Parts: sequence; structure tokens; C-alpha cells
Amino acid sequence: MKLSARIKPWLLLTPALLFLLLPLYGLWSAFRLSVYPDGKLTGQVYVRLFSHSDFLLSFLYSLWVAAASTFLSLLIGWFFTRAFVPMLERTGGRLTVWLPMVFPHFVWAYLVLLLFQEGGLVSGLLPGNRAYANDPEGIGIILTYMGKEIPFVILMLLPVYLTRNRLYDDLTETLGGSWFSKIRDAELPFVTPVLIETGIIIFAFTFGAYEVPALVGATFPEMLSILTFDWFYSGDWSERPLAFAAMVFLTTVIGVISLLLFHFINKMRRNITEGL
Amino acid sequence: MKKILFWIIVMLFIISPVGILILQSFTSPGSWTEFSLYGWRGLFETARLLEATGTSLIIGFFVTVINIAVGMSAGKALALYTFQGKTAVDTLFVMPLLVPILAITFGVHIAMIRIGLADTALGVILIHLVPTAPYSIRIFRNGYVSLGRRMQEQAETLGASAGRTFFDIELPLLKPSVQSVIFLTFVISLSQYVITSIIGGGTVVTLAMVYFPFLDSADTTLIAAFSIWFAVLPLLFYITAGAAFRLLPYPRKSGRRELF
Amino acid sequence: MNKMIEIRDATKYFDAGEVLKDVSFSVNEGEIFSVVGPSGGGKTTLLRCLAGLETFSAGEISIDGDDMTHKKANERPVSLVFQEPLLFPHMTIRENVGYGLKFLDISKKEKRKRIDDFLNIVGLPEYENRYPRELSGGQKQRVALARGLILSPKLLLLDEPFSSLDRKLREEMRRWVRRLLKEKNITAVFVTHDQDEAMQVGDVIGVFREGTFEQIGSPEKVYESPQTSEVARFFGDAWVIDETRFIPKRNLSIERIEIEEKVQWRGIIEGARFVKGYRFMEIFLDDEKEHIMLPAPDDFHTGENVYVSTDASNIRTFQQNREER
Ligand SMILES: Nc1ncnc2c1ncn2[C@@H]1O[C@H](COP(=O)(O)OP(=O)(O)OP(=O)(O)O)[C@@H](O)[C@H]1O
Ligand SMILES: [Mg+2]
Repeated sequence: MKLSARIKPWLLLTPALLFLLLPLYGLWSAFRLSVYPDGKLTGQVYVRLFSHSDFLLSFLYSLWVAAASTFLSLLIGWFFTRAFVPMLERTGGRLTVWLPMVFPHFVWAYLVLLLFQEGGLVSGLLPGNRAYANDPEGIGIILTYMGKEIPFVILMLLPVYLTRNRLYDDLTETLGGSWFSKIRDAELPFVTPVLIETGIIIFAFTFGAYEVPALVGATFPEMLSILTFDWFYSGDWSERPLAFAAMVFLTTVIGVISLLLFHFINKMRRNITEGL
Repeated sequence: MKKILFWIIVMLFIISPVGILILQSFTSPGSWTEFSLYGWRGLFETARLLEATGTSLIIGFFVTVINIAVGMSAGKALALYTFQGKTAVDTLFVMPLLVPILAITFGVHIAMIRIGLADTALGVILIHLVPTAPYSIRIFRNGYVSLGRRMQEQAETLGASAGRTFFDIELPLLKPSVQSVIFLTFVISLSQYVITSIIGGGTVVTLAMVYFPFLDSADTTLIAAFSIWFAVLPLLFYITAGAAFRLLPYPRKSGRRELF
Repeated sequence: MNKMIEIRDATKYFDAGEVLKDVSFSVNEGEIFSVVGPSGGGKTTLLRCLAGLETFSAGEISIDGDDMTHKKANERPVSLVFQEPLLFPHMTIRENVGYGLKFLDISKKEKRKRIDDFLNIVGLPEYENRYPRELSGGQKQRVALARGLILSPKLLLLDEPFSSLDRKLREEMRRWVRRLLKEKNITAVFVTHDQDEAMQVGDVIGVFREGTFEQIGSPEKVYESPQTSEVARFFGDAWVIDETRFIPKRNLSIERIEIEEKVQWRGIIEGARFVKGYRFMEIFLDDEKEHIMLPAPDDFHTGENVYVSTDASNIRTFQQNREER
């Protein structure tokens, strides 16, 4: 009886753990193919990768797009949520705000194309009459991601604001706190972990996703995902190892960043729960 | 005042873009006012579209079912049991969202070819689990956390077996979580273009596979209708799935309706 | 009389430590056994083990002569009512009350009749098609009781069922539950941390502390002759002089002067308190450095120096009680 009580959670976890094998295997296999391109261990592929000027440019460009999309989505999503909690509490308001999530990313990308490409519905109204889709700065991509991810940020943050104990606000206020210290002491401790977690998910996604840049990206510079996809399907397969290596490298970068941030969140969570 | 501001923002950035698509889909090409079913007729006359809709529905259905099974059991374990390595497992389940999906897909592609899953719907279903299951696990974990275990225990002391407890108590009370998972999973599955194209190899034609090449055509009316179709499907799927709840032994007859 | 439930040497370990230590007791058919004791003592754990929601680490349990040690919760003829009513929110009151009947092999008609009966017993027939959230706390708890009782369990377990109710309602429910259990001749284990409640509801009282029974006996016996200083302190109506001696409070009086032939303790009145219409004085005993509350005539006032007095014959020892038994 005692034994089965210990085994039970693991039984329940088994399907999910089996599922995990798939991404784990994929990652491991990509890594193996990047260091054993022709059956023997070599770091050659990575040397080639890092000396590839296209790669470095694409990497930095992707970093910019991902960072900008994440930062803007978090910031706007957060401000929007905290400003409009009462409207978001109502089903109607909430569902309308979440509407963009029903559409796939590529549909939203098409919308940006429709509105912001050369001769698009909105770009004609903007000063300079310039296009914000397929532009080298990546604004079209960032706009698309913002359209899709801000509702996601709201989705993640809203429960925090709905369940957060509002007594904390009153407490800091009675203690003579200013508007700023109210946010810092009564709000940030609860919001930051969720913001960071959401940010990591958005950042990782926008860094490596293919669909949106394929539609609203410029021909030059290219996002990393586009470049690696081309490498993967290059005619003679000679560049496949490069695709694997680029993805392994990207995974490492995202992994390190998220590890650091998760560590930070856990520390923060502990402080909150212990402080209560 | 705030309310007005809220609706202005929502109007500008959400309703009007979607509204433009809807409007375009119901007007004749090049006009904004002349009502026409040209777009929708054109859409449904595209034989590939109906076929692809079917494929997407089938794939989405299985992805959803697997998600519910995997998410529910793992969510329950994480919420209601204490065991060693819980935090590690919890973090591990977020991992698939953080690894670029292309890295995973590139990696499993060769293995899929080897075991005959490449170019099959099953292969596509499996790869669609990667961007969906982590969300489902979290949603169910949160659902079980707020449900607790006392209700189930109460049913047990009244003589209910584990199975009865599940169908009579657990499932109906987790309905909001199940609904969120159904909706989210289906939407995400429907949105996968690149991984479907790699694993499905052009043989498994989902809606996304039809949409991409469509964008090269200049027929904005048709594209608008197609775009809207992407939002209609999840809603239909969601409503159908919601009806399945009526089959439970205790379908709630009245009371507050929860949407999410 | 027939022993309805019997526990022998039950022990329960959690990872953190031993929660039940060699617990043994039995309850006769139709008897209500009140388990009373301080928070964290393991009362809920004991009930959960009796219900089969947890298993004893060691020990045996039998109900009506049948060994139940390895039976699961849904196989035991036991109903458990928790502190919160835990009504199923998606079922009507009728469905809630009748839920357990679904698993019994009786006719539809019989089921319907029983549900009607119990809705009447708990006085809520007109609520049958409402949902739990439309009921008050007391009504919900009554439904929870009906849901447990409708199965005619051989044993009913109640874990502080009234603690979420207000005082007046609580009093009412105690009387109502006791009458109901007696009427139906139901054997029950009733957990509470309120000594009044334990005495009012139970035929037998068990004082449960730190995983084991300090004393089991009739309410009067436990009240009058506590076996240990903890039992005496917990009931609060005896003044514990030290670990071996105590005096029932009603044998203590307050005097202004020293009296040769009495045993006396010097103290000062710190204030007056009113409990259920009677006036009490809170006295601080100088030598014992301890407060004691005693009824006092109106002419005693705060700040007065007094003597708490008794006859030497009133001093009892815990040891002596133990031998008596
Ligand atoms: N599932 C569990 N795992 C580990 N320890 C537990 C568990 N359940 C209870 N305990 C511990 O067992 C001890 C007894 O708890 P229990 O709830 O039985 O006390 P109680 O007498 O019912 O208290 P109260 O009057 O406050 O309800 C406590 O120290 C508690 O922390
Ligand atoms: Mg308890």
C-alpha cells in the first residue's frame, strides 16, 4: 500500500514523460548530426558555422527581432492588463482581447501584409508612405508578433491580477507608499515571475519560428529560421549539418538565458511564499 | 472613461483588422461595399480546401485527445502528489516550448523516415504534440490545484469507485480546464505550417499547407475568406467538443456558464 | 453490547513522523464516541484511516466483526462528513443526497423514497432541485449529513462538522444531530476540539493528544476524574496544582481573609468577566504565577487581594484516579 502510493504519481506522469522523449530525442539527434556529419566526431561544422557571415548576421537580426517583440509585448500587455482589469473581468471584454489568439500566426502575418505592405491599407496613411512589411528592420515581423503575443501576455497575467490580494495595495498605501512604491512592493513581486516566464516562452518562440518571417520578412537580412530551413533543404544536403549546428547553437543560447531567468524566478517565488 | 479607452484600443487593434478580413470576405473583389459570396464560394469550390479541412480536423482531434490524456494525468500528479524531483519534472515539461521547434523537427525527421512515420498523419500528430502538450499539462495542473482532492475523497467514502469518481466528479469539475485545452490545442495544431510540411512531406496536406501557396495569388477576397475559416474551425470544434460533456452522468442543467 | 468498530494498536507514520501511536479503542453499536483534543493531535488522520482514505502503517480495524484493515474507502460501510460540506457543486441537492445510493443494489423506487425521506429529515424538501451554492452554510452541512446517513452506514465519521457554523447554529445542530443519530441508532465517531460539544454530543469521550488517547470514558467520568494533568488542563474546569494534583473548580472559593483550617493561595483580582450570565473574576496567583478564573459574588472588585481557598479533602491526585479504574 505504502509502495503504491509512492509509485502512483510516477504512473500518472508516465505518458507525459514518454512524450518528453520526442523533443529530447529530436534535440539529441540534431546535436549528434552536427558533430558527426560524416560518421566521425568533429567540431568542423561549428567552425564553418561561425565563420559564415550570413549566419552571424541572421543570428543578430533574429536576436533583435525576438528581443524587441518580447519586450514590447510584455510591456504593452502588462500595462494593458493592469489598466483594464475591470473590463477584462467581464467575459465579453476578455474574449474580444483574446480574439487574435484564434488566428494562426500566418493569418496575422497576412493581415500585417495587407495593411502595411507597399500600397497597403495603412501604410498609405503613414508619413513617408513607406512599407512596414518585408522591411529590412523587421518591423513587420515585430508587429505581427505583437498582435499575437500581447493577448497571450494578457492571458497569462490576468489570473495574477484577478486573484492577487488587493489588501497589499491598501497596505502600502496606508504605510504612506507612493504610486511607484505601490507597483514595486505590492505588484511587482507577484507579476514578475509570470512576466519572466511568459517572456521566456515568447522569446524562445519568436527567435526560432518560421512562419511569420517567411511571410513578412525581408529577403535580406534573413531570420535564422529561414536561413536554416534553406540549409536543411539545400539541394545536395551538404549544408544540412550547418542547419543542425545552427539550431543546436540557438537552443544553447535560449537554454542559458532561460536557466538564468528561471533561477531568478524560483528565488523570487521562494521569497514571496516564505514572506507570507 | 477607462471603459471607452479600452474599447477604442480594442476597436483599433483587434476588431477592425479582423473586421476588415470579414468585410473583404463578403464583398466582391476590389469593392468594400458590394456584397458578394464570391470569396466563400471560391473557397469551398477549391477541392483541396475541403480535403485539407478534413485532414486538419482529424489531426487536430487526435492531437487534442492525446493532449487531454497526457495533460490530465501529468497535471494531476503535479498538483495532488508530493514526490521527489517534482520541481525538476515541472520545469522539464516547459522545455519543449523553449527549444526551437525546428531543432526538434530537424532532429526527429530522419528517425521518422527510418521508422516509417515521415509523410504520415501519425508522424504529424506526434510532432504537433511538441508545441501543445506543455500548455495542456500546465492548464490541468492549475485545474487540479484549485480542485484539490477532497471532493474525490468524499465521493469515494460514499462508495464510488475510482472510475466513477473520475466521470462523476473530476471530469465535470475540470470542465473549464478541459475546454481551454481543447481550444488551445486545436488552434495551435491548426497553425503549424513548417513542422507539418517537414514531417508530412507534402503528403499530409493540412489547411496551413494550402494557405501558404494561396498567399501568392492576388485574390484578396478568397484569402480573406480562407483566413476567417481558420478562426471558424476551432469554434466549431470547440462547440462540438462542449456537446460531448452532455454525455457525462451529471451534465449541469442550469447555473453559470463558464467559457474559459 | 455489540462492538460495532474495534481498533487495535493502530499506528500511522507520515514522512515527517509518527502521527498515531498504538491507538486502541472500540465503539458499541448505536453509541456516539466523541474524540476531543488539541489541534494537530492527529484526529483527522485517525478518521481518514477509519474511512479508508489513508491506511494504518500498522494495526487492525474491524467493523461489525469484519476485518477492514485492507479494504478501500469505497468498500467500507463507513460515511465521512468533513469540516466543509463538500457538496458536489454540479449536482442538485437531490442528486447530492442520492449520490451514494447509485452504488447500492436497490430499486429505483426505493431510492426515490429514501431520498425523499432524508430531504424531509434535514428539512430541505423544497430545495431538492437547487444547486449547493444557493444554500446557507448550515443547510449545506445538513445536506452533507443526509448524503452520508442515507447509506445507513455501520459507522458514521464526523470531522468537526460544525466548526464553520456560527455559535447559535452550532448549538442547534448539535442537538439535532444527536437526536437524529439516536433515532436511527447509528454508531458514530465525532471529532471536535470543543469540550462542550464533545460532552453534549457523545456518549463516550476520548481525549486525544499527540497521537494517542489520554483517557476514554463517560463525559462525567472524564470531566470529574481526569487521569492526567493534560486532560484536566484541556477541559479547563479543574485547577491543576502540579503534575500530580488538581482541584475541581467548583470546590474553590474566594475569601478575603486567611482561614486556618483551609488550604489557601494568595492572589489579586485582575478583572471581571461575564460568561453566560454569570460573573467571574480573573485572579492572578502570586506564588504560582498563574491566572485562574472563578465565579465570584458581586462585592469583590478589581485590585483586591484575596485568597483562593479549599478544604484539603478536595485535593485529588491523578495517580489515585488511575488506580481506581
Ligand atoms: N498527508 C499528510 N502528510 C504528512 N503529514 C500529515 C499529513 N496529514 C496530516 N499530517 C500531520 O499529522 C499531524 C496530525 O494532523 P491532523 O490533521 O490529523 O490533526 P488534527 O488533530 O485533525 O488537527 P485539527 O484539530 O487542527 O484538525 C499534523 O502534524 C499534520 O501536519
Ligand atoms: Mg482535523
